Amino acid sequence: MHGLIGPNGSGKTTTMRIISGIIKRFEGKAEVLGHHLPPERSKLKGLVAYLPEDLRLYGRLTGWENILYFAMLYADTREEAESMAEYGARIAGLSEKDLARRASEYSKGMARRVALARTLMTRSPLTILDEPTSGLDVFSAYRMRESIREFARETGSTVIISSHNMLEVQNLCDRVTLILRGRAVASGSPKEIIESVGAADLEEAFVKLASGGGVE
Amino acid sequence: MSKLYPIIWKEIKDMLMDYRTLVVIAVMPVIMMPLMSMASVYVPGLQIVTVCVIDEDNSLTTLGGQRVGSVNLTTAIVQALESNGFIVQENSCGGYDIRVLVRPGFTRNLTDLTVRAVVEVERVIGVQRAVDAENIIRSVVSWFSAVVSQARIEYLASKAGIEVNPAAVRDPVGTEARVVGPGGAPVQPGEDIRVWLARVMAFGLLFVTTPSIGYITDSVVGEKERRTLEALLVTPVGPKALIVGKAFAASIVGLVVSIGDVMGVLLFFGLPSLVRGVNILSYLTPAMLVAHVVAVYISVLASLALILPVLVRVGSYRASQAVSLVVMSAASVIFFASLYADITKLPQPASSALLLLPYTAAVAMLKSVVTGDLVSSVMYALTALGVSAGLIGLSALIFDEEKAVYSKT
Repeated sequence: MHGLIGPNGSGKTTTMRIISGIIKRFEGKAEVLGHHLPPERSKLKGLVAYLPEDLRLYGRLTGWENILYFAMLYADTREEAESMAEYGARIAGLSEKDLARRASEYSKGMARRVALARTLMTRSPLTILDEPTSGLDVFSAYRMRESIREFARETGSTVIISSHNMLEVQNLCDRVTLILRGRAVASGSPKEIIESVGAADLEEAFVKLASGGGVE
Repeated sequence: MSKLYPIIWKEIKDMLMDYRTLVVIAVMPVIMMPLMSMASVYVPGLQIVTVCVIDEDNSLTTLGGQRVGSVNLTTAIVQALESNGFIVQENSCGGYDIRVLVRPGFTRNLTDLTVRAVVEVERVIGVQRAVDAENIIRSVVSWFSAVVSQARIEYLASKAGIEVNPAAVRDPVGTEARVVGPGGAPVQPGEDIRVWLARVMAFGLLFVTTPSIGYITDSVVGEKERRTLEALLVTPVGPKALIVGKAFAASIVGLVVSIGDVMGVLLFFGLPSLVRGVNILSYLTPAMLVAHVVAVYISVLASLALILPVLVRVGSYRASQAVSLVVMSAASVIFFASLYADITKLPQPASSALLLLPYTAAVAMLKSVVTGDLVSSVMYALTALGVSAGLIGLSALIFDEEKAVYSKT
């Protein structure tokens, strides 16, 4: 699990969009799952799962239908789609009762869990989560982190996660990259980054690195 | 295109769950068309218009063996007005919207071959119902004039000692008119009325353009607003399937709307039958109703096809509203013009160019069905469907995923 950290506007979301194959014109090169971007961008379709920040659900559909719709886009048969959707619901800790309700009735935490289920169900080799716990209460954020951790353990999929919660990144991620003004200024395990600047934790390391990088 | 099914599945499910909007869309023509009918047929009759008929002459005379005079003219005028729902005050009135005055000497002038007898009609400006009354008065006076002129001819003929046909003398040149179909074959009585009905039905298509534009806008721009577009773009679904699937699903609205619109048409023509006792409904044929359903579907498909190329490029609600307004205005002009003009009879190349517009082709198809020109009607329908499909295909081609993700909502 790889954490992307950086202040607002530093380029985390843009980096994630490039890696997921959404952006087709950018300077430089990227290699994702053996495919060179931008020329082989289209080959990434279906290989990368992406949960955008603030993604909302289709309010008139039930939670189950929201997951099933995306599953049908990946699967060849209805049975396969249902099986994928069931996996997503299980990994996100969603009950049948939860999923039978219309998405418009969900709390923010519940909606994010359904969105997470929709992303994780594909068991893609690369899963990108843009601030998945942003704005959630402590309990909902904890449930989300547990689901992500369980998914990574079960599937062995590479997960890239961005967050402003340094404690979350420190606990979840094996490696972290700090982005400032579109450039990676530090990369390594949380422990390595913390030790490199003599900080007590990742938050202090972030502040030190970001201040040194001229962040106002 | 293998991923078309899930997109259509989701869009239709989403649409069906929004049952309130669907009901409003289906019911709108059912309410609006009868309201239009009532507004044009029933409501004018509710206006209180004061008609005053004053006969200062009040006399009768004998001319050519007939009894004629101001008395039978004013009686006929009063009867005609009252049978059309007007309240008539005779010989004494204060304020009025229209007044008929027959001055003394009117009857005497009927027998004098050197002068014209005159009926004075005075109407207050700005009252539409008074204009209707004036038309009725004019038609009665015209009938009375024919009676008097016939009596005068009989009188003159008897004086000259010759035999005449008073009608042939009074109206020596007649018109013998026939109405034929496009191939020259005589048409059945009432076919002209059917063509008029087809024009009104084409005007009714105006009510079906707005809902489809609303659905496709929500379907495309809504994905962006919900940030679901980004999630969709990494799935195996291609942008072509995404756009085509959404357009096809939104066009299903057309089928729902068509049910309401056909009901609206039946009520539009049925209400005058109840109010005025004129059975217009009997002129409607099953073929006309089927053609109307097809025209509704074409209009819906055309509306979303016309706005889609813009939606996929700009992707904001505000921009889409501006384009919607342009599309709806164009549709209004075409459907309104269809009441008065035949696009197929305009000079070339204007006619062919206009017929490439799906709305115009839908109107031409309706009219062709009524006149029995089925080949042309199929051709017009295929043109409209082809142009709409082409625009949807173009939208799929020019859809820029990256731009859609980055453009402001």
